[in-house]
Amino acid sequence: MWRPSGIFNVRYEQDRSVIRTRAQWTALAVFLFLVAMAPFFFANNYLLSILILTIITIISLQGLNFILGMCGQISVGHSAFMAIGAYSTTIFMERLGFPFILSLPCAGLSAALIGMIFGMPSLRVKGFYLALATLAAQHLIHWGLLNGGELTGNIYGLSVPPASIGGFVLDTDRSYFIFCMLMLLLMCYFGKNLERSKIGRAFVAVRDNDLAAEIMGINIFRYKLLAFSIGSFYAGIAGALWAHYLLQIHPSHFTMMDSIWYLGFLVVGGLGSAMGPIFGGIMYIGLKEVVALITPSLGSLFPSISTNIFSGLALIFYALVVIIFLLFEPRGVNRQFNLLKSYYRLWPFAY
Amino acid sequence: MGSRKNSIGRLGIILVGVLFTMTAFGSPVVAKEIKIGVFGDVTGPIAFTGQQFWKGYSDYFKWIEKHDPIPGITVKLLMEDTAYDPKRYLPVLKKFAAKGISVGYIMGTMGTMTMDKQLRKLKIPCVSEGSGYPRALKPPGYIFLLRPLYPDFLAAACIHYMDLWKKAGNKEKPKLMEITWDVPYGRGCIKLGEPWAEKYGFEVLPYQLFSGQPNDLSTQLLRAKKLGADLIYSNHLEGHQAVLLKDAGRLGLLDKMQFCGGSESRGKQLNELAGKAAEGAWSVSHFVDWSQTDNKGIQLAMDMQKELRGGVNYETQYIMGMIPAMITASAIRYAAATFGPENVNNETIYKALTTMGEINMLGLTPNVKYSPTERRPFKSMNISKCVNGEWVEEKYDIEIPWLKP
Repeated sequence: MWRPSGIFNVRYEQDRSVIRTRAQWTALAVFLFLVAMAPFFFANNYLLSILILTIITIISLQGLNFILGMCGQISVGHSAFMAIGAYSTTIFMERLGFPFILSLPCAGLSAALIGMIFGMPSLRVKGFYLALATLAAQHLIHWGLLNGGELTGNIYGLSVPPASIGGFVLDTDRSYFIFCMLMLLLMCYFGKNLERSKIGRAFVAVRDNDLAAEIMGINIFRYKLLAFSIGSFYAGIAGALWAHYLLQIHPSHFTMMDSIWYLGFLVVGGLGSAMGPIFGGIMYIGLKEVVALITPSLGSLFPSISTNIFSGLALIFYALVVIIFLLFEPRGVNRQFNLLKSYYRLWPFAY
Repeated sequence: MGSRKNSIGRLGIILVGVLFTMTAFGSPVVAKEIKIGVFGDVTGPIAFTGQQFWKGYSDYFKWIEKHDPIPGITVKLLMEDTAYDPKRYLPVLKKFAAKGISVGYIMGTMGTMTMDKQLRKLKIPCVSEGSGYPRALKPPGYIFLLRPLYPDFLAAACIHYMDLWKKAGNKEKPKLMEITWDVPYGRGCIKLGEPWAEKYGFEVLPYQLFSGQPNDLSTQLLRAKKLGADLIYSNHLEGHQAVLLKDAGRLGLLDKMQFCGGSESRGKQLNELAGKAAEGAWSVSHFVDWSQTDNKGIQLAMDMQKELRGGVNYETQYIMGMIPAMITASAIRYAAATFGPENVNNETIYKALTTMGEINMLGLTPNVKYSPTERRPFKSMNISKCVNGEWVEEKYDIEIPWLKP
């Protein structure tokens, strides 16, 4: 649909390929080069730190996009699945002596398993009721981690070993950024391909009308559980990346509010699209930084009301952004991006 | 022509004289700028507390700059809003590190537990309000606690309550229940404090938690009533304590149980919100009350506010904000005197904090002393009581056990 005018596919491979034109390949190569060079462009680790957090958020949002955006199942426990990933990687490394490169996928799989269990109610309930079931997951996992004895470190959380690959310790922001970026590319590639596979199409069918999908022969229970497990796998990987970056984890790092904002900013980015989580992640972390920058200044400008108003400004600001998008652009930033692309391709013609 | 030559000659003599004088007195000394990073939880769930901390902290540095500057040093405060959000601390720490801070101030347990390992890695000493994270002490790292651990707060309340209990001739064990905020800070007393209280002679009842900003704590209080709790201890903020006390008043429990909170559970805001329900409530803290007008530290707090803010606002958190500023300023002063102003940096401030001995706190708290193996500042606590809307001494200088993490 978005193919530039004059490009004709003559083979099935061309039709299936994600990157179709020479210009797109060039753009990808330039992008990858810039990404690889990014750590050297930034004079300090602050921007790298923000980028790492953005990448982690994008991976997590991609997972939620499978559950909600593609399969139409609501999850208010996504942050808890991240916690499972964070705790799992630590336990695998510290207790079982796994190397990082093995503990990372194991963390994803652990989260996938737990996500699948909490996704089971999706067979019987949907919408608001499913939201409540996943809300229970958030609280149960939080409680479990706080009361998990020495295994989870109780109220003090766990100390996380640094990530290392083959003896090379990823203990600098530069090295960790490059690793996270590679993970993001891998997850995006996997996600994009999954979207175009039989599984992805089945997800969309379940989302659009589960009754019709079932009549067509799609095992909706299987696909709903699959969506939950794949989405939670992504969350688990994101949680593990967060843990190895911070080197310290606690259940308070994975709150219900995070889960809710992930939902909100996935809508802002664009539900059900491959680019949606990317835009959503950038918006979420970007807004956090903007609010943190402007709030103290606003507080000092209006000292008489700073305590009451500005203490909650961040929440007001996020909520406002989500509401504005729900009202005026429910398909998110991604739609505007696509409109811009098509406008650019057709320019100077209107159609 | 001749007079013009004379003028130029005189001007030359004057210039040479000025240059000679400047050389004789030495070149002007440029003070070294020391940057302090403040992880300010000035928005988010502890915004009110964080903003008061910041007022006390920044006022103290403004005050000493004017009245008692550190020789050879100018202090620059960098404050970033961290919003008590664990995902904000790390970027802010990186930002501060890039800007070259030499020392920091953390306002809560969340920041302490989130940054402990990173601070060890970056070797930046930070004074911290986060007494709910004992791992920062094991092994001693770059976090210097501004008060004993929260379980020691509970211990102080238990020691004083037990004294009164025994004096009243009671034979049975008093019953302790914690009703507290479900965050690391709120839960901070449970793990170490409750087993200690049990050994000390209390019957410890199951703790009750609440999350977020509660409007009603009747459920927790009814449970306390049913189990016959005598001492209710809470580690939470003034707003939470106000709800607890008002609900207790409504349920007729105020004269049946002794309510006691931590440092942040009392102050002007609590009195405004809880009104008469606050009467008789206790608060354990590491500093003295505003009512101690003879105390030099309190006098300084009043003078600072009068001069810098045009009047005194009797918020307890303002005093709490002064304490880290006094400790930090003393460490910088000591480092400048010992190692020379040009050598003041994160390493020398760390050395100063661990080796300088007692820091005079003007009676605001007991004198602070850290060592290479200890990051807790002192070993005694105060209990204050709300009487006629004012917080006054109930029992000061209670020796605490320093519960082992």
